[in-house]
Amino acid sequence: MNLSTSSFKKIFQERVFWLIPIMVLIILFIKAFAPKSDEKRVIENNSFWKHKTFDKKTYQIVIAGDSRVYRGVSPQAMIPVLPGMNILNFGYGSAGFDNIMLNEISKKIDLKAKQKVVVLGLTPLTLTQEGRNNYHLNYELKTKREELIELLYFKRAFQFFVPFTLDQMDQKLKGKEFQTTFHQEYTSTGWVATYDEKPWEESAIKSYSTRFINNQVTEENLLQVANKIKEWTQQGVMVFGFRPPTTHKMVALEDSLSGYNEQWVKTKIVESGGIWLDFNVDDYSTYDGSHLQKESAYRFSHDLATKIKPFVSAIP
Amino acid sequence: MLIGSGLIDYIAGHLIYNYPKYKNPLLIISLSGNLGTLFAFKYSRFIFSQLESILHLVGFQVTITQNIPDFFYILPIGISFYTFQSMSYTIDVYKGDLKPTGNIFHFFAYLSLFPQLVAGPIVRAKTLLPQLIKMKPTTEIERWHGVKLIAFGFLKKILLADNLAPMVNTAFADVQQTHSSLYWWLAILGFAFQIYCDFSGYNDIARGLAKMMGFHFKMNFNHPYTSSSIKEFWQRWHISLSTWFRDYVYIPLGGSHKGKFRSHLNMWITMIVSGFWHGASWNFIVWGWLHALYLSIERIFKWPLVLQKSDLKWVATFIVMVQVLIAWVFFRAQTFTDAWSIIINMLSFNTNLDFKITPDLRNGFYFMILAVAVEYVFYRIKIKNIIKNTTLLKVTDVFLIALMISITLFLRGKGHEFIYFQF
Repeated sequence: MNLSTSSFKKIFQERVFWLIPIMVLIILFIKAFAPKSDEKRVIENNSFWKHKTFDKKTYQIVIAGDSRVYRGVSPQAMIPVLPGMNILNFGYGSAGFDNIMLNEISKKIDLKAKQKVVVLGLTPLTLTQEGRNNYHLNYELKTKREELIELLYFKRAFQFFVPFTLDQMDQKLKGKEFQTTFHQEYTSTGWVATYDEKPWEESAIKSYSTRFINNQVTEENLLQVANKIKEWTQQGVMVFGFRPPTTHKMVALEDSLSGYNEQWVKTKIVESGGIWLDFNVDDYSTYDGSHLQKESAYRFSHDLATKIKPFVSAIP
Repeated sequence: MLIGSGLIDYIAGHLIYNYPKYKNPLLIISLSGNLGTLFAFKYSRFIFSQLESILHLVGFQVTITQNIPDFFYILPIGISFYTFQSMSYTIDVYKGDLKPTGNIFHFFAYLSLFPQLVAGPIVRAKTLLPQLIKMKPTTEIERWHGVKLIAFGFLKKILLADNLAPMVNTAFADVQQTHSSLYWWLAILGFAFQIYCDFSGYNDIARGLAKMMGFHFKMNFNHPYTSSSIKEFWQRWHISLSTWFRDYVYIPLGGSHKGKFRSHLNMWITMIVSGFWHGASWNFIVWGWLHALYLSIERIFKWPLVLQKSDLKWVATFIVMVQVLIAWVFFRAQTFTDAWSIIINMLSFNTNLDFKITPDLRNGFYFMILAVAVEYVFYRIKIKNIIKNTTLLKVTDVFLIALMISITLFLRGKGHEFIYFQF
């Protein structure tokens, strides 16, 4: 067979011409029948944290703390009370207020704004060594450049082509697809709206009963926060502190085991120039005894904004 | 490393060609340079630790391994592949099969051509140098075939090998987790397809890339698990390495021309060296040794021929597969003790089913079936030449590539490094 170059070219062009539409059709077909995969949530989760950590935008109100803050404070719910203000939830898992965290908070404050506020969710854990190790925040800060690019700019493509296994397909065909009663919605303001269809307020108690062994709240740790509050207030930043609401049982457990004394923490914050906000745990409900359910988080955030508003409005 | 190794052989090639009187010492210098480097980086730790153990046994308390420079603990990627390519150049010039190239860039392009540099195939200088000298522009159809090979390579690696890896890794991470024969046969079968898809996938990608650049690399795998004798297996598995050992070790040792005993001995040396090439450990040596044993038994009893003549080729294929699987245990296990424990479990043929059916195991099992199906389909297409209609062939061609790319995108496994990168 003697084929000229032009006929080769024709064969190639013909094949490439058909390859693309056929591939699109197959991809759409697979996508329609693909089983649900937890991997999609993993991508959403990773992208959420990278965005929170590396976004260069600054805010008038920055709310920081541990998982009780990132699951419990909704900037969306605060905006109707504090219209026109841009608010960020800067909470991280098992976070503590060490120098790294405090400096990262500083980077997020819009120092040029007239009204600038930092709200610190001071749980016992945030003032212990375990919290101050900031495993989660440090992990995010060490993200490789290529992973950051993938998650910040190609998230949609990765979510569309989220992989699944043949086992997952088999489970789907048998009607045993991946299902969970625990739901997390990642919002653009840093809040993770969380709810469990089957809440169980005792579930966190067990882990917290051992969490403070050799891991106590210390005066030194609180002093570091107090010094930062002084520095911020000198820069014209208004600082609020509060104890994120949980349950009476959790409060009693933490008070007895962690070395945390709310009155003492409150006094230190006020002495440093901060404002302490009190909340009633009976007004809210948690899904595990530690973190607020989505609806409660919404109500709590509204209450938080209402308590902040008179102080913020008073700023000339 | 690459430049050093290449310069030795480039210069040696010219000197051997121009001063044939000194070709023997020149070849020895060149081989010493190459093998010395390979020894230092890949084998020094193993050999000295063995030597140390022997000396301890006879009462000499010496510590050799502690004196090995730290630098030698780094294994340069692809060292076994490019050293062998480089050596083949000098040996071919020595044998008069190749005229040394006058262009150093051609030589280094041959040595460092990126698609096959790190994990093969081991391309001979006499195959590639003429292609480098007479570079032709690629045709559209060559590029299309290149795309096809790359797509198929990625399918084998990302879809099949990477999805088999979790099952295999879990099994070999703790060999005491179960004594079930069924479990270990499944695990080793999973590894057999993982290593095949991983390695041949890389080679397909390398060949596809080369094709798109206008180079032709010979096929390195030709459906090895369809072999009905171990001899045939070695004609189909890692062809570029087995032919290298045949041409540069087995034949120079005398091949099969010096009597039956020497023929067996030469074959045993070749197979053990081939096992050692893969890595500095007793496991690889035993793997090579086992294959040598299989080959010797085959040569003496000629059992594959008997079965083939009796129309029982499938029985022969099954027996070969079992032998290959048993040998793979030594290749994959972390230690010799682990390997032995697995072999005992496999050969006890117990009815023990005390293993957990995890999602990884289920998934591995499904992908094993898929790997067998893919291999079978492509084997049938190739051997039987099923599709004869040109239009249908074209449509199937396009559809197959579209399907391969699409399912690879969605069913991709978690990324694992190519297994042969460690060699």
